[in-house]
Amino acid sequence: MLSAYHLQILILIAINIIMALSLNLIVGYTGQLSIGHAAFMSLGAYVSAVATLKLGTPFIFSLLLGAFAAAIFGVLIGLPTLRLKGDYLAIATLGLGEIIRIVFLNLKITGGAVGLRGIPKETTLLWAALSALMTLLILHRILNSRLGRAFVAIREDETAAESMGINATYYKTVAFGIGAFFAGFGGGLFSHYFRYIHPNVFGFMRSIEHLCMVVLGGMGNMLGAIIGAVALTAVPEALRASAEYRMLFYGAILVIMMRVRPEGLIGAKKVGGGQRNLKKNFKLRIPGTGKQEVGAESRK
Amino acid sequence: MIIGTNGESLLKVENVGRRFGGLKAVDNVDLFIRNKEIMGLIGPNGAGKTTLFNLITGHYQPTEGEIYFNNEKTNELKPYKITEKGIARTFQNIRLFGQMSVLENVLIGMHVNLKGGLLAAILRRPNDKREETKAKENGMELLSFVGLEDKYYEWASNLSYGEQRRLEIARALAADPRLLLLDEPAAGMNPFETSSLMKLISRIRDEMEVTILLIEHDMRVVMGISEKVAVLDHGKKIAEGTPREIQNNEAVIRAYLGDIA
Repeated sequence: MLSAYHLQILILIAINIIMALSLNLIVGYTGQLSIGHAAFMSLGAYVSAVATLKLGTPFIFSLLLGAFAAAIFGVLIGLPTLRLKGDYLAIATLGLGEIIRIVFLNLKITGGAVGLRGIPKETTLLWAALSALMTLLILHRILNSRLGRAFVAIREDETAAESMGINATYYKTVAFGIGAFFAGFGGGLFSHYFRYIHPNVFGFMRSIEHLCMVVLGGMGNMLGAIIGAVALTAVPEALRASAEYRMLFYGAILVIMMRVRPEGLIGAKKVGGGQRNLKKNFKLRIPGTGKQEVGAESRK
Repeated sequence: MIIGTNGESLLKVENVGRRFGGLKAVDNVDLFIRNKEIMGLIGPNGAGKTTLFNLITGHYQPTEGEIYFNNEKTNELKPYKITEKGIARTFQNIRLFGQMSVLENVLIGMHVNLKGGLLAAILRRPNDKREETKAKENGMELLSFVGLEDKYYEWASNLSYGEQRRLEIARALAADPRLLLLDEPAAGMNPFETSSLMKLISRIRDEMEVTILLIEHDMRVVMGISEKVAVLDHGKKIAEGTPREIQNNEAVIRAYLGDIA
């Protein structure tokens, strides 16, 4: 049997995988710099907790309510701010994160500065792991579709994407909404495990942690995001003794990665798979010949 | 050789002007392109040709005048809306999606003709899967049309220069446009590639019934395949006519000062 401590680490890893994957959609795949991701987690955490405590909804409903609340917020905020580019967008997302934090700090229903306590412990390892898996599967499907192509096109060259008929502002908003949804779901899992939440738990530092996971593993790479999440959850725990140096550690990681290997540990994955994968995964009829090339192994 | 003129103007550029501060990049330009026509747009560097393209595709709004496509005013429309209406383009400096495969680039070009959204992506119902498969088949056909079907899996950034230009054309065609704007498609091509390109452009008009407006500096290309040629200089249209007429036009020759190839 796992000790309570190890159980906590595993659950936290699962939640952080969800956070990293959802942020990766926004930052890695769509190319929009968002440094307020923890705000979505916060919304999910609080809305789901309030739903469970005040409305008595079943766990899954609370989680979904939290996720949808975060998604709606993501879309509402996205519409005006996503016309901003690069640094300006980043600052706007930073501002958003702070606004959410301060709002929750002042609301009575969320406990204000005292925080929200007494949340039932509903999150088990099974819940967390399954959620992480579902997130991975759903995002994988999204990214390998017309929608996913639009996201990457926007990242690669927004002007050219617009010329292809892609409404960049709309699709950026959709990316934000989807990313926010999963972040909110992760937030709900978080609040129903730790049983007590406080607005400062979801501050700017938390957003930077998530960004670090994505950058470390490799932006635009799902496996990379997972590895980043695992590494940056497990390692700081192992270095428990130097807890105060954690933020220093994160800052150092960002700087070192950008300097030494900006594409992340795994490296940016190119859409459509590698050369080999493409040939393998395609079942194509070659036009004009009537032959069917059931992608066997690559013939290179 | 005059083909396909049925008297109707597909694209009407009327008294269009575009200022940037004090500079008139495009000044009172009139352009009427008929359905299925191939029109060439030439002029010295800086004449305003690409700016005119950008006005037609909605990247800039005209500060004067109107543009009508298919009898619909397009002045206020955003670029993605104009693509939806049926205008596609290639770029002067190639703007492919380098971190995607050749086929994926074409699939992105097909964006306006496909429907799948968030639900389709997640659920992958039979209809959704069918649309994706059909899209890939159509994509391969387009690649075949430009002679790139063997490289469908390559990263776009790995193609040779000439191949990248052809891919840009395939990607633009994927939008199933009625009007195709080609911005210096022959730039950097050797003579062999250039004559292939000319054949390709003619085929696009003949087989796909697409109207074409092309900017080119290579006079062989412009004079060889255009039915009509318009000449810009310093933002103004200084001449318009058949290739033969343009070649003998005093004002044009002066504008180029002997740059004609």
